[in-house]
Amino acid sequence: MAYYAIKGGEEAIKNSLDFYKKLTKKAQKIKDEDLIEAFTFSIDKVISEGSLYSKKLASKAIKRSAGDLLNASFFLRAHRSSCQRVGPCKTLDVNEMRLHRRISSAFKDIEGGQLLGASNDYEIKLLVELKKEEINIEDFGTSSNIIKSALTPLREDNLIKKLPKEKTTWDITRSFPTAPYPRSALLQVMSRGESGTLLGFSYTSMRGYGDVHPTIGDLRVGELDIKFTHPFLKKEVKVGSIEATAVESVGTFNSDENGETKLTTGFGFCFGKNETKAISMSIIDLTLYNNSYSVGTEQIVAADFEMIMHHVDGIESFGFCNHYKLPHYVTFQTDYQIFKSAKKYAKEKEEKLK
Amino acid sequence: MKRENINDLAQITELKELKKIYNKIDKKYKIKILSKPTEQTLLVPVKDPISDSEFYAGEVLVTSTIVEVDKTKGWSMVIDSNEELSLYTAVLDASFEANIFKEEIKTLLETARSKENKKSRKLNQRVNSTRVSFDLM
Repeated sequence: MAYYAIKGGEEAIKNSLDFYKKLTKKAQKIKDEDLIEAFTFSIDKVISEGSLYSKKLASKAIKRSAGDLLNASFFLRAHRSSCQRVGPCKTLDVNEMRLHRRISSAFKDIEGGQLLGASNDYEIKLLVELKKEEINIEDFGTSSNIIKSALTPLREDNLIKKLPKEKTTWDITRSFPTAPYPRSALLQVMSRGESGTLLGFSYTSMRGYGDVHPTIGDLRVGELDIKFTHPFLKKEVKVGSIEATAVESVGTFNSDENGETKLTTGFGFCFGKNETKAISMSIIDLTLYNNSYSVGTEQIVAADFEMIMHHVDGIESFGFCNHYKLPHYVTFQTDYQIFKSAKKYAKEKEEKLK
Repeated sequence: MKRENINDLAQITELKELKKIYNKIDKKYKIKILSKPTEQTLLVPVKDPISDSEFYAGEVLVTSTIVEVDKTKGWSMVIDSNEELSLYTAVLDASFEANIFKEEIKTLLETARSKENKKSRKLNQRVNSTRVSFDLM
């Protein structure tokens, strides 16, 4: 096999870009604020997979890619790498989230109750159109909902399996770890992972190749404050707030490191309103650390650290897949020549034997 | 209102109002831009409830500026790509500390806070209207 340099196509590339611009020019006319408001779930998917919380840039990226969300995430990830990083903000705790939505399917009676928030979950299931009647929201309370996780009481009673605490937090954007993978690296990979890939892997678990039926202990969608230290005042200030989704799924019982039987849980967290992704992440987390009670034990996809660590990043898989679009006929031509030579050799040998 | 609230409150204030007060300050005092509005990122650590450690969920885009107004330094860090907003906020931060248009700044930001509180209360009512009340069948 051999590679040899080629050149050409400059004009075709220029014309192709011009053609693309013409094809997608109407997208550029959409105002950022309109797109952010109207396509809130697309924006949130892009900021989560692009691993950069910027709704404005997500909007520009969606327009530039004419709605190809994976491509838009790719733009965002590229922009991220061009920015200086000033450091970490104050650690976020999902218990401090101002909830806009909160569901638990594992526990009915939870402190603070269940909040459906803005959702179309029941529209499809009940097949009914909402009657156009006025809803008087003035009848409802004005207080915000900052409620601890539904699992907090169980955790306080030491009924939930704990995993060892890590001394340092890994950052995969600076160095990618080798096995055994630190938990912080795994969660970071999944948090910026591609929603469909996470769903696919977690679905293998849901279908029986893993913890057979996990449930949602606490699904929360809401706002969290980003805080940073003022350089002159030396006090913590609020930089702004972000929307996020967090899920704690509940599995079966398993032994902890002391051999005690505890309830197993998995954690999912990502930027924006991304419920399917956060649920999937929590199920994979649950399965990875609790595979002994799973069907198929260690052999299942959703309990394979290598599989998860190296295959859930949408930008990497997108980039790798699309590099095939670049000229590769050089390799094919070499293979083709070898095939032709072999065929000729076989034919000559056959004729000699006659 | 304290200086540490300026950064947050400026972000919920109308940009044109911030620009007005910025122009007033600029006219009367010397605004020196020490570090022009720059896009940066902050890593976002999240507490993992299972191991009690933390992990990085991604980065948040911020725009930061450092200015000097009448020899007092001011800083801002606002969320997302927002150059103008970041510049005005840093000027407000310095001016507040230097007692320049302090009362005007306070009034402007407090008005924005009150409008924002009203908006949040409405949002909370919307959320609270979706609280499930179970009945056994």
